Amino acid sequence: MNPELVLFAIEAGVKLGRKVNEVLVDETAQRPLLMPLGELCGSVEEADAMRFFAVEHAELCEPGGPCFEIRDDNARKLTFYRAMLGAETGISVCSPDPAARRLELIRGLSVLDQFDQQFQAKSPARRIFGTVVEIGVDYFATHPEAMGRDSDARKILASFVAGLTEADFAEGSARQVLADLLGAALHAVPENAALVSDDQRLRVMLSGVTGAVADDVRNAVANQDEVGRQQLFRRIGSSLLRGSAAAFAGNVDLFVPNDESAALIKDTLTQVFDGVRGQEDLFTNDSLEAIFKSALRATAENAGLLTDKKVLQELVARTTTVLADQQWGRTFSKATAGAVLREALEVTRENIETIVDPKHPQQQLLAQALAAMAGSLSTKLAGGGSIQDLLSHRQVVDLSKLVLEEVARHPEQLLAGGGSDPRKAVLAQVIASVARALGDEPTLLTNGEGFLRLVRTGLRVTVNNADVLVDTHSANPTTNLLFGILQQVVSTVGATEDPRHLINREVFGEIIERVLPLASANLEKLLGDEPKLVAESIAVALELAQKTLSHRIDGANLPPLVAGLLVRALWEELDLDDAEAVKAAALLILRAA
Amino acid sequence: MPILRRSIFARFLLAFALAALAGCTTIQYRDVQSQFEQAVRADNEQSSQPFTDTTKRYEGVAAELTPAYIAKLDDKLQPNAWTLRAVSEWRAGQFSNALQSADEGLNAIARVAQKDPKFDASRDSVILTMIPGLVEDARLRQRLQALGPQDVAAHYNDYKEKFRNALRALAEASGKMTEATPPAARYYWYYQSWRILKNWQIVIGKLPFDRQKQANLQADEIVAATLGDTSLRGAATLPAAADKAEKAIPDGHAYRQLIELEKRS
Repeated sequence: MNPELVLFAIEAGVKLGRKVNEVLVDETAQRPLLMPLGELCGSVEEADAMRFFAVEHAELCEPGGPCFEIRDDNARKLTFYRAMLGAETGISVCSPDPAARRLELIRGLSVLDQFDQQFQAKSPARRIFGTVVEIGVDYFATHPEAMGRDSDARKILASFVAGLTEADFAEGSARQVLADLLGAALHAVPENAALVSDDQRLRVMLSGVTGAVADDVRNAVANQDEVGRQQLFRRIGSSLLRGSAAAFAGNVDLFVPNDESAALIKDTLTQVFDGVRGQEDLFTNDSLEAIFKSALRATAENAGLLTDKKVLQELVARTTTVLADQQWGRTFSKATAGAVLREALEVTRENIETIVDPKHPQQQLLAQALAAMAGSLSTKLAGGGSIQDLLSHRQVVDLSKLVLEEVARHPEQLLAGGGSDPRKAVLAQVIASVARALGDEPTLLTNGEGFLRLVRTGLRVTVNNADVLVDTHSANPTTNLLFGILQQVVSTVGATEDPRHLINREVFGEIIERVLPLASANLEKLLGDEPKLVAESIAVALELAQKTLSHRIDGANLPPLVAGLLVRALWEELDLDDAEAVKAAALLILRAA
Repeated sequence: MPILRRSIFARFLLAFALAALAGCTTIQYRDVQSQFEQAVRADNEQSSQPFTDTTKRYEGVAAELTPAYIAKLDDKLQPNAWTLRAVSEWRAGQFSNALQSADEGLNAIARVAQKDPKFDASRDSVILTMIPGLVEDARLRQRLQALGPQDVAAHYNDYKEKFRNALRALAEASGKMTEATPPAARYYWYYQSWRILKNWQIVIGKLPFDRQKQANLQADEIVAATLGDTSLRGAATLPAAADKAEKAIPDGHAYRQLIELEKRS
C-alpha cells in the first residue's frame, strides 16, 4: 500500500469534514430568525388624545374652555377627540376587522437576517464544491501519475496545479472559473505537443493565463459583474488557452520560461480582456483565439512599448469601439470584427515603430484608420446601396488589412485631415473617391476583389501626392482630383461602345493601375487647359480597338495602349485629335507592349 | 488489493466522520433555533389566539440553552445562542436572567468580532444591546397591569427614569449599526423604538390631567436628548420621534402596517 495515498485520504477526509462543519456553522450563525413584537400598554389612539388635550390644545380644558368639565373623564375626551379627528379628516378611522388584519400582517412578517446581504457567507454548495476541487488539486499535484503515466493530461494538470498553489478555490470567487479553465486546458493545450513536452514553459503559460482570469474575476466581484464574467470565461476558456499556447509554443525565443514571462502573459491578457470589455459578443471564439495569440506575439516582441502605459489595452479598446460603432452601418460584424482586430494587432507587431510613438503612446493610429475606412465605406450611393454591399466578409477583412498596412507605412500622409471627422482623412477620401467614382452600379465594372485593388492603387498613388489629389476640407469625395480622374476612366469606359467586350473587370483594374500614377505625376495639363485628357486617351484607344487597329488590340494590350497614349498627350508629344499621329503612336506602343 | 482499497476507503470515511462529529452539536442547535422560532410565531400571534401559552415555549428554549450548552457550541454560534436565550427570557418574564444573558451574549460577540468585525454590527449584536430597553419596557407594562394608573400617579418619576433607561439602550443599539447590519434589523429597531415611545405616552396619559402637560414636556426633553445621536435625531418631541421611527420603515412593510393598525384600534 502506498503510505502517501493513505495519508492523502486522511487529510482529504479531515479537510472536507472541516469544511462541511464550517459551512454548517456559518449557515446556522447567520440563519434568519423571526423576533417578537412585544406589546403596547394601552391604546395608542387614547394616548394621542390625552396628549392632544394636555399639550397641543391645552386651552380646550382650561377654565372656560369647551372641555373643561370633562378634563378628568378620559372616555369622554376620547369621544370628543375622535369627533374632532373625524371632522378634520372626513374619513372613518376604523378598520373593518383589525384583529384579522393584524393576524394577517403578523403571519406575513419576514425574518431578520444576521448580516446585510453583501456581508453574508457564500453559498454552502459553492464552498463545499470548492473544497472538493481543492482536494482534487491537492491529489493530482502529489499524484500526477494517477492520470496515466507520461500522459499529456498529467503534465497539464501538474503544471496547472503548480501555477495555482496560492489560489484559495474554496472561498475565492474565481474558483469555478479556474475549475473550468482546468478542464479547458486539458482539452485545448495538448494540440501543442512541443509545449506539453516542456514542463517549465507549460507551467509559466498556464500560470499567466489563470492569473489573468483570476484577477479579472476578482475585479468583477468588486464591480458586481461576477456572473457575467464567469459566463464569458466559460465560453472563451478553450480559445484563451489555445491562443495562448499557440503564441507561447511558436515563440520559443521570446517567451523564456520564467516569472517575467508569466507576468507578461498575465498583463497582456488582462489588457485584452479590458480592451474588449462590454463588446465581447462582437467576437467569436475562433476570433478571440486569434486575438489572444496575436496580442501575445505582439507583446512578446515589443514588451516594453506595449505593456507599459496600457498601450495594448488602448489599442484593443479603441479598435473594438470602432468595430462596434453602429454609425458605420454594416461594415463590421461578428464575422469580421475579430479578424480585423487580429489584423490590427499583427500590423502593430510588425510596424511598432511607426504605429506607436514612444512620446505619444496613447495615439491610436490604427483605430483612426479603421474609423476612416468604415466612414468612407458607409457612404450611401445614389442607388441606395453602399460599397459595403460589394464586399464579402473576407474582403472586408482584406481591405482592413490593406488599409492598416498602408497606414502603418504612411501614417502621417494617410491620416492627415481626419482630426474632427474621420471621413475627411486622406485615407477615407481615397476610399470614398474610388467608391463614388464607380457610380451607382459598381458591379458593372468591378467586384469586391477589384475594389480592393483599386483602393490599393489609390492609396499608393495618393501618398505621393496627397495635397493635390485629395481635398481634406470636405467630407464629400467628389471635390477630390483623384475622384475626377477615376470618374473619367469610369464614365468613358461606361459610355463607349465595346462590342468586342475587351473591357472586363481585370482590364478595367489594370487601366486604373496604369492611368492613376501617370496622371498624378503629370497634372499640369489636367489642371490646365486639357482636364479631360484621361477620358480622351481611353476613348481614342477604344476606338482604335474597334476600328483601325482591331486586329492588333486585345484586352491584354489595351491598358498599356491607354497609358502610352496618355503619357504622350500629357507630355504634349501627341495630339489626340490627329488620327494619323495617334495610329502611328499606337503601333509603336503596341509593339513595345 | 481490493482489501487494501476498502481499507483506504474506510480510513477516509472514518477521518471524514471524525471531522464531521463537530457538526452534530450544530445540527442539534438548529433544532433549538426552530423551537425559538415557533415560540416567537406563537407569541406574535398571541393577541389573535388568546389561549396559546407562549411563556412555556420560551422557558423551554431558555432551559435548553444553558451556559454549559452554549459553551460547547462553536465560537461563532455562541452569540446567537445567548441572543435566543436573552430574548426568550425577556418574553418569559425572566427579566434579570435576560439582562445577564444579554451581557454574556455581547461578550461572546466581542470575542468573535476580534476575528470577524462584522459580528459587532450583526442582528444579534443589535438585539442584545436592545434587551435592557425591551426588558425595562416589559417590566413597566407588567407593573402598570398589576398596580394600575394609581401606581403611575404615585411613582411617575420611577416610570420616567425607567423609560429613560429603555431609550438609552435603544440609542446604544442604534450605535452598533453599520453597513453590515441587515435592513430588517434596522426596521425592527424602529418598530421597537416606536412601541416603547408610545408606551411611555400611554403611561403619561394615565396620570391625572393636571400633571400630564409637565410629564409630556419632560418626556419630550428626554427623548430629544437621549435619541439625539440616533437616526431619530431632530425630533423635538416624543410623538415626533415616534412618527419619525414609523416613517423610517418602508411603506408597505409589515411593521409599518402594524403601526398603522395600532394607531387606529
